[in-house]
Amino acid sequence: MRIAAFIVSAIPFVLIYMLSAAEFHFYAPSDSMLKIAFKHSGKRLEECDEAGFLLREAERYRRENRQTQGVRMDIGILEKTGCSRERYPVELRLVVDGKILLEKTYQPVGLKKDGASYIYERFLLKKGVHNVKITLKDGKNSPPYLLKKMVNFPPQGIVLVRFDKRKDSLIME
Amino acid sequence: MEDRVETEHKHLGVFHLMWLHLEGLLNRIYRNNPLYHLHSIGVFLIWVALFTGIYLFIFYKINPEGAYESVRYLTEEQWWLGGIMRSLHRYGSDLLVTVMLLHLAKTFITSRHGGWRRLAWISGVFILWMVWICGIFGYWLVWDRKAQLVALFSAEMLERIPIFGQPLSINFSGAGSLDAIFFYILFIMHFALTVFLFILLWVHVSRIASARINPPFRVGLATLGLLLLYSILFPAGLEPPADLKSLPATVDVDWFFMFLYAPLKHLSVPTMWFIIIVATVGIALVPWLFPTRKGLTASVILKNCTGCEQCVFDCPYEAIYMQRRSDGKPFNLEALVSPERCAGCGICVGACEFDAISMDGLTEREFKEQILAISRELAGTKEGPTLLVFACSWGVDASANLDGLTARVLTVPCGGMVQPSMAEIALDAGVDGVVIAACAPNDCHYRTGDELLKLRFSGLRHPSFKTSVGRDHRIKMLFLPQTARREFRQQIEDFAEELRDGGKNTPCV
Repeated sequence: MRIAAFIVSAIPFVLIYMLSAAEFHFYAPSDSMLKIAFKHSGKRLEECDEAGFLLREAERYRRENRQTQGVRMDIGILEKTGCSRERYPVELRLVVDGKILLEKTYQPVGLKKDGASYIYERFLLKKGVHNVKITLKDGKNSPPYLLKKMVNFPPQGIVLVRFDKRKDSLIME
Repeated sequence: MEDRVETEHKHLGVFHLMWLHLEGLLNRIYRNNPLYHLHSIGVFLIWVALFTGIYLFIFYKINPEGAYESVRYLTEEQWWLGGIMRSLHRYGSDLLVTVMLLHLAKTFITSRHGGWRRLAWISGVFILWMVWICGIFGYWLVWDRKAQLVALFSAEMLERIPIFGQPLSINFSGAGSLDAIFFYILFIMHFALTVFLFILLWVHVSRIASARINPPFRVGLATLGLLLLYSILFPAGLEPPADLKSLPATVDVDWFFMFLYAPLKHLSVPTMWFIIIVATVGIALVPWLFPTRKGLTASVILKNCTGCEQCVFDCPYEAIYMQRRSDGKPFNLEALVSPERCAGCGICVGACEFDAISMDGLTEREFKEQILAISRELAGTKEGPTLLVFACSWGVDASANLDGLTARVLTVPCGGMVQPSMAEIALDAGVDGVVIAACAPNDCHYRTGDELLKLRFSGLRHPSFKTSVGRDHRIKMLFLPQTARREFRQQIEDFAEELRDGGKNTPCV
């Protein structure tokens, strides 16, 4: 009976043996991936001297505070002067081997749409050389950023496109 | 012939009967059938995961570079202890998922999901998800190829929830995109979820009196022993480290935790979410979609209640509570029943010596009068031996298995409703023998009916026999599942034979 109990008790462990480390192919050996992942802030809808407004308000506060008590700094000065912080959405276009794979607009985050736009897209491509062209537009009158390259996609490799702030351009790695 | 106490014998469904057959088979080879202890085995496995996890944490480095290296060290260099701990942690979690699913299946198949058990069922659904999420975070911590896959797919799933302002997948886009803070968050989530898990377990058993959360010693020892043996023979392996510049094309998947990711190969994320939500809500609504029949409801006859609290002690579902006396009688307390928690098992009737509990209007005194009337009728029969059978509604269909015997059946909601004085009434009225047929040991539909029955008839729990005259040989207790008709018949026939012979040397059970 003990042997029978041992054998029956082993059944869950047979399940564990079969199911806890079963090889699974999520991608084909010839698959490769192009990833676009970065955050980018679009241009302001209206350019205004935000720093200047704040400096002047701070100066007024210091001046009036010396003379009287209970002076308040007006933290809503930017809204009152119409200095909107809203940003343009970021538009992205991806063309691979002459085929448009992506044409999308990314809204800035935040209740007042004054944050950055976050871009994350991924595309499964077959390994080999592909002609990749990416265009990024972040403002009404600003010229688009362009990245155009013949790229060798290794098997099971990931090619990442991101925005380098220091170089102020799209880069591929 | 059969008389009924407002209770019908429950004809079990096909799957329920199949489950009982399976338990019956295992009862032949196990002293402690693990299918009766799935819940406590599950809790035990959580403790195993917790203690092994604490050991692993001692060596774990909470940063992208150190995480994998520390796990590799435990797996390869400290294989004799750290590696075993890691394997116990992994396989214990896999076994926990198996046990939980078996527990869920048993609960549903044996109709233990409805009515007063709804809170336990719904909290159980949350527990399932909590264990799963905890496990996913655990895999994430290793930061190997499997973790990379888990991270990518989990991020894609979570991004669809509109509370996140940015796509989480950006964090796994390339080298330098992860820092130690992220791994601290992962670790805290993995550990904090364990705390939430214990809170949910508390809710899960909150309406169960004296919940058995520890398995019998042998069962716990055997579980740990088998886990340890398996961990030594098949130590948990380690995939290559995560590389965010390459695809985790082929990965050894742990299907116990990663079953949701495989379909993402073919299904879109919104479709997966739809399936998850529909399945979760569907399972949570099972008590309403497949309702169990509402049984009787107990109520207290206040003028008879002495506030002895025995009904409170014996109620398996904490449906009875005591409060200060309200009718001026010289007792401190009075009992009250919460109807929504009442299972209708009648165990409280079996616990009460003062005729203070009634079941849907049928008082204990009226029930005893029924017993007396039937017993006198039986005793007047010329053919013997005469038997009065108290049959649990969830046990063997006694009335269908007593052909040719001079017997009458009283079906009760649970064997725990029967108290020794009820058997005494029958014996004093001239019945030759009394049989109490309850459910299989450890498998009482109302948890403790079989145990309380044994304790009361052994004199170890109130109420006990009114007289001390030896009559053990005229009382037979049977603990059999509904599928054991032949054994029931055989035992009844043997008992009748013993009564014919005088049966002085026959023990009670």
